[in-house]
Amino acid sequence: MAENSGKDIVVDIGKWEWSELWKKEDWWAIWLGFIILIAGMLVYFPHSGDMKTKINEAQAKYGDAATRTSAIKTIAWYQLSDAKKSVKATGIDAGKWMKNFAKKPHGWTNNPLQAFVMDEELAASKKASAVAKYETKKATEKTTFAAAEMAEAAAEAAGFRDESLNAAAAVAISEWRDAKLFAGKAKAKTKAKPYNQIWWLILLGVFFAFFFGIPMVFMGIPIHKFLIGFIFVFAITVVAWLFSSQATMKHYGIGYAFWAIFIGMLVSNTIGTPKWAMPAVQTEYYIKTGLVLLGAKILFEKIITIGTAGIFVAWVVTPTVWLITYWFGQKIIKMPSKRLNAVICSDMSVCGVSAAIAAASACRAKKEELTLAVGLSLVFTAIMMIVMPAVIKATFPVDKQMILGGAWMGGTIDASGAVAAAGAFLGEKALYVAATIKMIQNVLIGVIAFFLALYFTTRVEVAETGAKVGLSEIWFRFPKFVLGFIAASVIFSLVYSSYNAEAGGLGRAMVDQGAIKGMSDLFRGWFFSLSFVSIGLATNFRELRHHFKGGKPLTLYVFGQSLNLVLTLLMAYIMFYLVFPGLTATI
Amino acid sequence: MNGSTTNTNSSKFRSWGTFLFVAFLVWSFGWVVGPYIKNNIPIYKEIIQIVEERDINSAAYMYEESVGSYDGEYYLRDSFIHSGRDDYGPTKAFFSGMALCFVLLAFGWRYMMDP
Repeated sequence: MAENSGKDIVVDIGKWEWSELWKKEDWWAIWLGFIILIAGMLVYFPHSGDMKTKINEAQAKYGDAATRTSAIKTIAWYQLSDAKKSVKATGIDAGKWMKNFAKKPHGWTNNPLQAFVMDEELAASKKASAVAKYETKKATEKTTFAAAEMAEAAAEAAGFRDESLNAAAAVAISEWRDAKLFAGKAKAKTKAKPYNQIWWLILLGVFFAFFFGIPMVFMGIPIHKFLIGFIFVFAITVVAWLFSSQATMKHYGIGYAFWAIFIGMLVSNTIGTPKWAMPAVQTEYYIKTGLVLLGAKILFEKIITIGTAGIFVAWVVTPTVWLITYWFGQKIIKMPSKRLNAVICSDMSVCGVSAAIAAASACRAKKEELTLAVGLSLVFTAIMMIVMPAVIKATFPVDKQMILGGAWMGGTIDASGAVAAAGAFLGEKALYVAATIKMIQNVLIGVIAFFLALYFTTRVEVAETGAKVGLSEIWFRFPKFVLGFIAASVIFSLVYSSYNAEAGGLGRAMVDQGAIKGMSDLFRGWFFSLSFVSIGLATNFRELRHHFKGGKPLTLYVFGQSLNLVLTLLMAYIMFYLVFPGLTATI
Repeated sequence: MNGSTTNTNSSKFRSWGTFLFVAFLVWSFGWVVGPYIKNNIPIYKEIIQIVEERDINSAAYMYEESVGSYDGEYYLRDSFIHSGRDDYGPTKAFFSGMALCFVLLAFGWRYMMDP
């Protein structure tokens, strides 16, 4: 759609054609994403009646006892919560099959083969070792449960009006909860079974090859060329997952995104990416399909969870930091690329890698810019995961470590996994607050992606081309997959809320723990890793190196993250302790 | 002809050499340096112990990949409901927080983001 204006300037003039619906990857990303989402709905939603019955049974069993006082969270309150949480649509046979089908390599420590195969002998020895540990944890759980029952009975005998007895009961119940959690995790390890993941991975690779390959025919690439190249891309993707599932790498939070880019770049910059693999090196295609799936998990009802104080931490500080950092990048340090500036601002202020992916696609950033932003985020996440809990433990008053510390970490550490690890170090409440704040920030990805797509389409690209554009031109340029992303979010938010209106917790059982976790999430990680491998395979290190010149990206990230740390802490303190202290006390 | 073949061979050798050297560096981080650091920084050791006991995926990028998110969501939501307070949920203050987000973005669009 390029026309020469006659002044040696090539001006891109867009014109909408209906054939784009089957010729452009933006639209195919939407169609493929929705095929998976609809498949998820068809597999899981017919079982909503069974799930509702289970939730109602749990309510009938523990409901009255759980609500007999609001002074403390009783044992029955937790039992009701546990019973409801255990209702998951993924528990059906089809859900179990899907989990095996799309499973990533297993965790391993020294022997990489264990990521794919475990024989009966090894499984039996792992099981035996796990059973011994479980017995110890189970005994602790039993003892703490008895102590919790006694303490609760004493508090109840006083009508739950004696504050010291209530506090003693709350402590005893909390100890039982910790013991129960550890016993539960230990029990899961006693279920070690032999496995052979190799055949599943081959089956999955063949499925992906045709799933992405057939649309390629419509986009003008011969399917046989794509299929041959895909074998190479998929093989590297499996290796990336293999590295990310190694114990040490997991502990450092070095996930699949790093390994996919790193291995891809290592290959392309040393032995070279084979030419025959290039038809399957389709960064945008994989990433946009993954983003449509990501949209389905942006559920708006979830933002109510953290309450009023949390919304100010997650939804007011984040755009403030984003805007000031972007302004700083443009005006003060004069970042040469607006797109790189926007992607770094997004990964630093919203939620790391996933926000960087969405922002980069929405503003059409270069693959090296996404690589750089992801790299910065991963390095700082690994550092902050260790430093922040240590600082909180050493400097915060004990009574504020859990909520204030949790909110601070949730609002500032980029990746969800690192937030959970750092939160768990402080305690269960800190983990819950931190993880929930991060989850609400995750919801903001949709808002930021839409905002960026609109900004770059209507303002930046207009300024770059120098052409005044009308509505049809804006429509032509607008990244269409963003519409699929938002449509998926709106549809699943409505379904989630309508299930919850039917029975409390049904939305979680059917959407979170059904169509999303049992279908779209299984594939989304694979799609993102395929795209990161493609980025690596197509990136020349020299192209990346010039972005480092003058250290501007690093300066931008450090400035933005420092601002984020100060504003988040300030806002969390004001909201949780000065404006809404009553609500905070109930957590 | 011979010179060109020698150059190609030497370039291939160098490429494979770099590839294998970087692979060796990765191996040494995963099996030697990484474990040494995590075993010798007390706070790191403590965090890793908790991560393993609670089965947390510390390399997760999105909330659904981390165990704490679903449990946290459930815990907080039920805690607020259980408290019986009326300042939880879709209150005016809550919506004002959300609205402020959009006001900030609109302000930034108008005054802080040049085309």
